Parts: sequence; structure tokens; C-alpha cells
Amino acid sequence: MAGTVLTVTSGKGGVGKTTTAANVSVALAMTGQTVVVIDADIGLRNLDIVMGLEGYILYDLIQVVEGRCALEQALIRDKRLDNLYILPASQTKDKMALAPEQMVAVCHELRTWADYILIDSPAGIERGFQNAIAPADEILLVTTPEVSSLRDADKVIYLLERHVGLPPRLVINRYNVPLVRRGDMLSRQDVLDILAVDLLGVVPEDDEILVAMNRGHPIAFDQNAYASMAYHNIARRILGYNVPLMPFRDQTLWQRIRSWLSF
Amino acid sequence: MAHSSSSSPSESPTVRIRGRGNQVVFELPEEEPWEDVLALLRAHLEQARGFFAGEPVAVDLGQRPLDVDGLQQLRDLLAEQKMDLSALMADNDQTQEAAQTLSILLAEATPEETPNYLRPPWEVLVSAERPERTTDPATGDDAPGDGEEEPLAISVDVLPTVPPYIFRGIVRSGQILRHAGSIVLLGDVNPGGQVIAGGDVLVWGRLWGTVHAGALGDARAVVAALDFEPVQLRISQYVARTAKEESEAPARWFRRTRIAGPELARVVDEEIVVEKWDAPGARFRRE
Repeated sequence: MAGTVLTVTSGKGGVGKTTTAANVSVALAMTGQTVVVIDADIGLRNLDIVMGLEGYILYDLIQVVEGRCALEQALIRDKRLDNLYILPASQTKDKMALAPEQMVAVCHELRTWADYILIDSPAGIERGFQNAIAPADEILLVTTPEVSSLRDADKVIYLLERHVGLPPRLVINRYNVPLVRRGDMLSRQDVLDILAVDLLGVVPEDDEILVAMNRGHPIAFDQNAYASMAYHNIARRILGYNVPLMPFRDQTLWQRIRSWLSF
Repeated sequence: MAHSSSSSPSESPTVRIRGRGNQVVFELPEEEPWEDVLALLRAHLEQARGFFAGEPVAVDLGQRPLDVDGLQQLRDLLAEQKMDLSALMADNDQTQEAAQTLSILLAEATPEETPNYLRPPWEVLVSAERPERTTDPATGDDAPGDGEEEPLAISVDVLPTVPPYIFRGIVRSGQILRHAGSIVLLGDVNPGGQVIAGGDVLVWGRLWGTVHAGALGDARAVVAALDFEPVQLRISQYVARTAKEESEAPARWFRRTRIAGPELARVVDEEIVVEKWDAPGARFRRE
């Protein structure tokens, strides 16, 4: 069975594409799937850093498409999971060094043995975006519940529907449950009302995600962490399981006790 | 729609806008002084406020003789309105020569036969009604302050052959829905999306984006929506940022507790008025 290509994109920068791509890849690999995650952000390479694999890079994606090395040589096998690989971007070239057909060709080769190929798309809707969506079977659209992020996500949905005929599945990132409860942040339903696409998952805002990334150890590795559950649920939904949304931890134990006693 | 070219079309210059394949063609009058034709075209394009912006357009000059300068004036005028003169139709040797000097593509005046369903079935007539020239009885000269300073009174008729366009779906951020006739939209217009119609706009859903009705200059056009909360609203040359005071914040459409219900916007006394659909006098009247 040929593998599935999932492109993680957003339009707007800084909403958590790389974080999502890294954590979902880890979660998928932990279910036993063979996963390759490609950093398509040529010139601004950072997937390898958050995965903690920077020191293992010998070749990159551009060298592969230019024929300077074999695809197998550029792939880095994860230290923690045998069935997880990353294909790093080049830090020296730019988006124009890569063409959509080349991305399709690379993915075509990976499909023969990998179950899932994730592509971490760069921000924007220009060449880098075109490269990232060209080989996609499915699109994972990341947005935060902010008006600017939503506006860009809406535009990306329009571009996807128009140019590739693929409606994306949505990941709402940095969902701040107390703010939503106070009415100061768009709720999940508000977001879905506007974008009108399928929801793949909601990731709560959580400091641990950030801390784990900075350590080069995505939080999905730690299955007991609170926010980790969101990524594992997304992975299981990608695999076709029907998983309900996780219960959000929006109150401390002390607040919960206080509300029970109602004072 | 009866108020335009009915007044002696032979005296008032008329620009005809028609479709050719998927291209827009401006048919300019052959006899009028060139300055007047340009003034009429400029006045109309300014009124149509970017309806054609970014579009390649063709111009049909008929038998008018035109030199390089005259042709360049036309090209500059179109460029000002962000339009690209993609082709010229001319039946005159001098004009054809001038077009070659400026390397403007010459096209056949008779459109190649396009299948019926591809041809935009619409035509727009733009005419100018020049203010009456009053003659000073003492001197017999034209009275001062006539014609020249008065702006041309432009009237526009979108010929009733234009069928409405029915769109089902969401007009998303960055998307433009454009049609010379009226637009009926079953769905939503998201913030950042645009709907531009020569006629009326009816949205059976949320109108949260930008809408321009009567974009070819028809101020009688109306805009109606079930949830009426546009970022910006235009009817003909009139612009309203938004009619509601509480709607100033960019995130006004989030966490709204109440939807006002179906509303209708139209131009009353040179101003856009938004009213509940069943407000007294708001019901669409045949004019």
C-alpha cells in the first residue's frame, strides 16, 4: 500500500506548523507507522532543531533533488523511534531552489516504503507553499483562534479548493480554554462557523509544549503529558479512528474544589 | 431601467461595453471629438470604481483615425484605472499604423464565434448628458461657466439581457465574485472576500466581507443579506464603511450575541441607508 502525504500548512507564520508537524509525526510513529517528515521551509530550516536532530544532518532536501546524494543518505533516522525519519531543508538555498515537480518526485519515492509522509510547509502562499502542497493527499491546516490567523486560513482554504480541489482538515492550535470561557477568545465553534471545514483536533495552549520543543524533544514522546494527548488524538483520527475531543484542563485543582464548595 | 440613452442618442456620445469571448470590449463612438470620448470614458471608469481593474480589455475604435499620441492617451487612461489594453480593433489605416508603432495587438473587429454558453451575455451602455449650452442674449456668445466646468452627467444602463448569477458556497478571504448583472449567493461572504455586481446583491447567509452593488454605476442597486455585517459596503459610487456603530472592532463578528436579522441597503439622497428588511419604506420598490 502506498503511503499518504500530509501537508501541514497555515498561511500565517508563527501559528505552530512546525510544532504540529513534529508532534503529529512522533505520535503517528508511536502507533507503529513508518513516518517521514520533510522540512519544506528551504532557507529557514528548523524542524531538525525542534526534533533534536540538528547534529545528525549530512545532506539535505536540495542536495537530493539536485542529485548530489541519494534520498536514503539525506534521511535521518530518529534516535528515539526506529520508524521515524526526517528529511531536513537546506539552510543556504531559498524556495526557488525547489520546484513542485521535484517535491512530487521525492514523495513518490518515499511512498513506496513509508506509511505517512508529513510535509512542514513554510509560511506564506508563494512558491514554498506551492512546493509543499503539490504532492499532498491530505492537508492539515493549522490556525490559532485569532482573527488575523483565521483570515489567512480562510484564504488558504480558498486557494486549496481552487487549485488542488482538496478541502483541508483543521487543527486549532494554542486554544486557551480559560480565555474562551471568559468570552475573550474565539471558541472552537466560532472558528468552525467561519471556516466551514472538518475539525481534526484542538491543541490547548500549554507551556510544556514550548519547553519540550526548546529541548529538542517534542512533547508527544511523553504520553503522560497533558497536551501530548491532543497530538495522539490527532494521530489516531488520521488513522481513521473516531476519537472524541480531549477534556481540557482549564482549572487548577484548587479552583475546582472551590467551585464544588461554591465560594 | 429607462433613464439613459433614450434622450437622443445621436447627440450624446455613448460608450458601449460588451463581452467578446471572456474579454471586455469598450466600443467608443466614432464621430465625437476625441477629448470628449476620453472624458466620458474616464468619468465612467471612475464611477465604476475598479470593476474592471486588473482585467485585460479591448477597445473598438471603429473607423476613427487616431495618431500615436491619441492612442497613447487612451492607453494611459486605462493604465490609470489599472486596466491593460490588450487588443485594439480599428478599421482605419492611420490608427492601425499608430497601434503598430506602439506595438498594441490588433484584433479582428468581428468576434470569432464563441459558443453561446461562454459568451458573457451582457452589454452596458454609458452615455453622457451634457449640460445645456445657454447662450448669452447680449453677446450671442456661450455663457461663461458652461460645459467645460460642469462634470458630465453619466447615465448607465445595464441591459436587461444580463441574467443573475447564482453562486452556492462560501466567498472566502481573497476571493472575488464578480458579475455584470445581479448576484444571488446561497452561502456566506467571509471577511476579506469580495462580491462585485453590476446589479443587486442578495446573500442568503452571512455577509461579512466587502460588497459592491451597482458597480457599473447603477445607484438603484440594493444589497440584502440575512446577517448583514459587511466590512465595507458600496453601491455605485457611494461607500459606507459600516452602518452600525458597535461594529468598529475588527473582530466584530466574533462572539456576537444577537444578529439583527435580514437587512437591506440602498441609496437614499446620496447616502447608503441600511434598514431591517421589513422597516417601513425599506421594501424594495420598483422604480
